[in-house]
Amino acid sequence: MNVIQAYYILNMKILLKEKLPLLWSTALPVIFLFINGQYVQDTMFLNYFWAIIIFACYIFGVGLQAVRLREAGLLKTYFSMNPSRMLFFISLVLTQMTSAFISMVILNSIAALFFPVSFVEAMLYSTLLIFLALPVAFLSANLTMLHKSSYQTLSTVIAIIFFISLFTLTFEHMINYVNPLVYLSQILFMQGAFEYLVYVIGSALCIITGVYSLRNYRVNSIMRR
Amino acid sequence: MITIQNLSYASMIENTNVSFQIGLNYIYGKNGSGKSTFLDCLSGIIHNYSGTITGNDDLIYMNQNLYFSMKLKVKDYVQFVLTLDRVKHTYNDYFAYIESIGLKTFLDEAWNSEVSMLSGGERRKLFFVTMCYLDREWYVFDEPFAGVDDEGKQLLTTILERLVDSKKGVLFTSHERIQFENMNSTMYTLENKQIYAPFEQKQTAISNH
Repeated sequence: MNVIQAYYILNMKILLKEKLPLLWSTALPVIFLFINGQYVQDTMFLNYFWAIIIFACYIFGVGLQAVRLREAGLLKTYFSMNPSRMLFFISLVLTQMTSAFISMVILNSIAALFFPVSFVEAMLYSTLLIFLALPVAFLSANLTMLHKSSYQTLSTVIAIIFFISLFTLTFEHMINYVNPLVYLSQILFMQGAFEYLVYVIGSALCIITGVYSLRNYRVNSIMRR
Repeated sequence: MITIQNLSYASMIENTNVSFQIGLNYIYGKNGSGKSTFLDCLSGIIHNYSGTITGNDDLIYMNQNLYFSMKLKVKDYVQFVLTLDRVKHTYNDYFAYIESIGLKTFLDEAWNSEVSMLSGGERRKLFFVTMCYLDREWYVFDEPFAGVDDEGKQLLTTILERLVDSKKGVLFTSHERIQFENMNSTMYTLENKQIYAPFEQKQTAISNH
């Protein structure tokens, strides 16, 4: 527990001091909320914006962050003190869950002020989505297996995917068949045994591959000495 | 004792056999000779080497880069390290240790400062003394004296002396040859992808004649 506690407190302090990532995961959905304000008829329409927050937190804040720390060789000393990759990963996920929750509170508060949505209902469903989307955090851990790709390359590619997904999110387009934000936002609308089964199998795959990647997570950089 | 047998890694270290006794050991090598890579293997950060390393179960390894935000305070760093190390210690113990090495004034003044407000040498000093406070059998440092002024080097030497007096093992790398006045040290040399012990160096020197 002390390892999770140490990294979690450190990460939260960094998050609150260096506000850009928090602003990034909050301001963007708020802007899109106002751009698409005419469509917001009820609380569940916010699911698209919750998906944006979760994608930003779990992909950028967990997988890409682990790649960044590996590339800079910043974890060597701490891993010599305690080499548990899983505890380090759990602390990253907990940090991003907290970050996502803070972003949800801000987004839902603004939405409740300007649009016909219930803050309490929005908080309940968005918190549920934070938990249901946890396999995405495990999926993002697979980014650490791309040893030949630099952090800069990976973050650029993910940012491009993110923005394309974002801009096509609210209208009908073929690209939405592979839009990760659409799938994230639809988790709350699962119906029937088949959809639950797909979710369970998909989650299991994300978790298994993520755990495998974490077990093989190297903290020595191959990009720099 | 740390024993290394037939260690090879990538194209940087080849079939190295060496052992380090408790006490002060340092590895001299030119820039780019593979000192950091060797310490990465020895400390278990790199796993996929060939050969065996034993006796390295209880060590702390301080490399040249540390994960820490410059915007956080010195006290945040100390709290993080002590918590990560299972908090066998209390802050009172830590402060007593800091006082015993003559850094009380430095830490009192820096405690609530952001790490970014410390100079490079002060940051290195803070990280170094905090790591040395933790209880391990071996302390491994990568270039601890690089970029440290004379006063700082004296402090680091004093701390190393204390560790050696406490029957701890210390191993560090340096690209400069270092003389210790009050302490016996064993110098190893890393060149041509291998580490040579003092005896081997003498032997090599004799055979060269």
